[in-house]
This record gives sequence, C-alpha cells and structure tokens, in this order.
Amino acid sequence: MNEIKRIDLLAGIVSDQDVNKLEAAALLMRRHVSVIFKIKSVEHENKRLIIQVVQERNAAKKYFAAGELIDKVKNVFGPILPDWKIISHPVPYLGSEVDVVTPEWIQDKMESLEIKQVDIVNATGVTKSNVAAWVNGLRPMSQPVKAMFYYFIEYFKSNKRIS
Amino acid sequence: MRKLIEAIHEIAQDNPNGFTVSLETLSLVSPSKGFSVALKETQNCFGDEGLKKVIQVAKKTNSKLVGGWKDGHLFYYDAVLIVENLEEAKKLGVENEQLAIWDFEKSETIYL
Repeated sequence: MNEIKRIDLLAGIVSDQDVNKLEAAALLMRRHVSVIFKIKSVEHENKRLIIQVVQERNAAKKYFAAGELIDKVKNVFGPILPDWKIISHPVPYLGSEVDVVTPEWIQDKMESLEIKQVDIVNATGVTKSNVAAWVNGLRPMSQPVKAMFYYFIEYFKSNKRIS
Repeated sequence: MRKLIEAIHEIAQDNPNGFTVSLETLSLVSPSKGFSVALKETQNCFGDEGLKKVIQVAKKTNSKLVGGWKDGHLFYYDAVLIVENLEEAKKLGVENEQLAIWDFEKSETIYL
C-alpha cells in the first residue's frame, strides 16, 4: 500500500527511484509523527502540485501547527521536485477530549464524584486488577482504555445529576 | 519471548501509524535529539515471525529498539539504531541501504 495517497498522479513526473525515496520519507513521517500526505492535484502546465498533509495522534506526542506541517511537505517533496510549486493544505491534529485522561485525572474525578473502583469494575466488566493497575499508574493506558474511563466518568456524572 | 511479543502487539495496536519501543523497558521512545537508522537485516519483517526476528536482531544492538507500523492489515517491524552524530547516521543509513533517515530534533527526514 502506498504511503503517499494518490502518488500515482506523479507518474511520468518523477522516476521510480524518486517515488521510492518519497515513499521512504513519507513512511518515516508517518511512523514517527503520524504525518500523512495525499496528492490532491497535479497541474503539469504550471508545474503546480497540491498536497494535503494531515497529522494524526502519535506515540511521540509531537504535534505541529499548520505552518510546521507545510514545512514537512517541503522537507519531503521539495528535494525531489525542486522546480515545482508545491501548495500545501495542512490539517493539524486537534486532539480528543479523551487525551486528558491520566491516572491522576482519574483519581481526581473518583475523589470528587465519590466513585469507587468497584463501581468501574461493575459498570465495565473489566477485572479489578486491571482497573487498579490503570488507576494507580502501574500500567500504561491505551487509547481505548482512556476512552473507557473518560466516558464512564461522563456517564457517572450524568446519572448522578439525574438521581 | 511470547510475553515480549504480546506486549509489543499491544503497543502496535494502539499506535498503528508507528512507534519505537525499548526492549529493556517496553516504554515508547522518542528522543529529543539524534537520528534513527533502520537496519537492513530487518527489512520487510512483518507479523509474529517477523517480530521474532526483529527482536533477536535488536537484542544484539546497543540501542535494543524495535520500531513498527501498520501497512494495510499487516504490522511491519524493524530494529533501529539511534545515533547522535549526523555523519555517522548517514554512513550507517547508506550501509543499511536506507533511502532516508529520521532527525528526531527537527522531526524531519534526511534523504541519503
């Protein structure tokens, strides 16, 4: 599967070797900082290339503003297409509400809302040892686990308001 | 080995775009400086068998780092070195037949 979406649009413009270079660079961008490129259009006459650059959640937690994402496009495509005008459409990562969840955040919510670990166990069916490990920071939380805690607490809050 | 593979699987599932993990601590690694160079020996390693090979190779290096990413429905893995000196990183990259290396400080690629 291609790293750069619609890279086929560069057929006849760059050599196979340069396509491989672009793909290698794009893979490094995705695996280290979840920056992903898509070629939107190629204007052969004007030598103009429009590229969308999107950043998604990444393990390194390195996030870039729109201007910085434009620089990433130049970093990857500039050396391979030096004579082309490259226009970037950046889409920075906006984050998710769930990203606030940490063991400290959970503990704080549990205290203020009077939630016991057994409440989480009973509501989610997740074992006591797992819940304890996450709440106490003994085990890192994956994104689905953070989402579970976040939305359990939201659910708990709304039910507490109703009752 | 089984537990190590399972732990890395979990990290991979949570980070399908990519990750680098230390075999010694099983924590994610993203230095503020240095350059990442993938090893030729672990090119095109995927799935459990690929990961086993990558772990064996990575254990022999000083870095003891495993990187991974999802491509389609497969997880690919490689052993990587993190090198502080740019010239050394470029040299290692060429020796390992890489087309580019990663600059952690600038979060950019460097073509070789």
